[in-house]
Amino acid sequence: MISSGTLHVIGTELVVGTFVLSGIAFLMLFLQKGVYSSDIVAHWALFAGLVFTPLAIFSGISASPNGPEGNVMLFNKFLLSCAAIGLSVGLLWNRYQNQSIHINRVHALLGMVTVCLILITASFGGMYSRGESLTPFLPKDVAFVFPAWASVILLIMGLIMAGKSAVEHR
Amino acid sequence: MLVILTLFSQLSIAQPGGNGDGLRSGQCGGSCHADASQNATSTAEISINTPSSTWAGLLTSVTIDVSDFPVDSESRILGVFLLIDNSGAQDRVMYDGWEIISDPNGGVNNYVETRLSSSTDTKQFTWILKSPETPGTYSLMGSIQHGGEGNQVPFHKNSEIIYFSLVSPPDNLPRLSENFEPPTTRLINEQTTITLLTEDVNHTQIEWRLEGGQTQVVEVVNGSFTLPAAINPGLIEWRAILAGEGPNQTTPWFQLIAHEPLFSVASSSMYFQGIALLIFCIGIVRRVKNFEPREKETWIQDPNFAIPQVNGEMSEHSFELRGDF
Repeated sequence: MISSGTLHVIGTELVVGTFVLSGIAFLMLFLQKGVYSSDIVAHWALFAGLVFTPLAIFSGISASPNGPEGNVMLFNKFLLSCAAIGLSVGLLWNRYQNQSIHINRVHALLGMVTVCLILITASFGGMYSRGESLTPFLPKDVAFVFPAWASVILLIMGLIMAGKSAVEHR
Repeated sequence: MLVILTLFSQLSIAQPGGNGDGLRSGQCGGSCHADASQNATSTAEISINTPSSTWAGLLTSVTIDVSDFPVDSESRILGVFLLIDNSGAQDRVMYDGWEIISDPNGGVNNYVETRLSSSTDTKQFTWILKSPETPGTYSLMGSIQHGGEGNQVPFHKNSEIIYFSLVSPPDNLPRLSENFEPPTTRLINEQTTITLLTEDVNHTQIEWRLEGGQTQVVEVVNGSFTLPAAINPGLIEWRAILAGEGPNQTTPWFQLIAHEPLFSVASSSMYFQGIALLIFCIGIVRRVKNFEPREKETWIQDPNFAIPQVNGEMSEHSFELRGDF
């Protein structure tokens, strides 16, 4: 048996480690250095991070006493993780469909943004559990709780953009 | 960015961000602060006051006063323990049979943390305890821990250990019932009605006061009384003066902490927002794939670029390019 807290620590270490590796490779892609190897490392590490992220999210929710619904910092962590998953899926999807997209610097930049979101999420975790982090300047008590209609609009916009891209690809 | 943030971080020992309230022994809760090889003695003054009542099995209050808090503490987080002695282990108050009814933060912990404002150098911490059922001699001790300049050294200090005797109460002593649990927290802008459960009581008078304010009397109707709403987060204290056949009793000052509504959002709403954000982010990134690499754009948009030799007439559907490009 293993507690949710311990599993969460293992999960976050895997997620942060793989995402940081991916972020370094995306930086190399952005700088157009070692493009071939960086392309492979960036996307495979991103894939590994994406696989471990749900484990980290759900073990974290299970480990917290009141869940993310009752704490601003945990709520923000959840949303940032979801955004990072979305960006990761999009990046990998693009890479799967377009083998040469790695020379697109916007693609590399979005990869770094994804890693940045994961690192901010981890930073919030440090602030929540130990009261300290590398980013003490980030606001920790502000949460953007959308009303249902705003979430619906966001969802529809996302589906339209993703769907349109899929149609254009064909 | 990560490297820069790491390089500019100042290393410290212990946990300058605090450890959170909890039920901890002196050694466990302050392993860094209590370690003689790396700690330093705090310059703050700490004293613990004897319980307000010496009846065994009844509610009482214990206060720890901390003064002359050092100005060079960077985070100004102060951790305070209520312990039974300085043994370091198995020194939580429950080992002697005490039950914590409320701690200074409204919880039920023997270790609490608070962040002092820069102008605060004196602070009082009050625990409401239910004393052990067995009469006898007991001891209590307070302990504090905090950081210093740059949090380079963890500071620590114990109060003197106080000893006192608990005696069995007379059978007809007016008292609060064992089943009575005083509320410890409430929301601001809400009145609080408390129903007292008493034993051997003929008449009850309730007094309340704001922190440092004058005492007010409130009427008790059918065993219940109402405390006024708090406008701002803060503390209100109340106590009951119980009269009956036995000697009159005054309860300890119970603390009621008013706070702003806590953050709360429905689970379904949170998950829906998360999924919507996830799909939206996928959509955003998917749009990026339509951007062609910069090098090709430059190549095509170059005004001097000429299409290499075309073999034959240019067809509407296809043509053949020859050349080295």
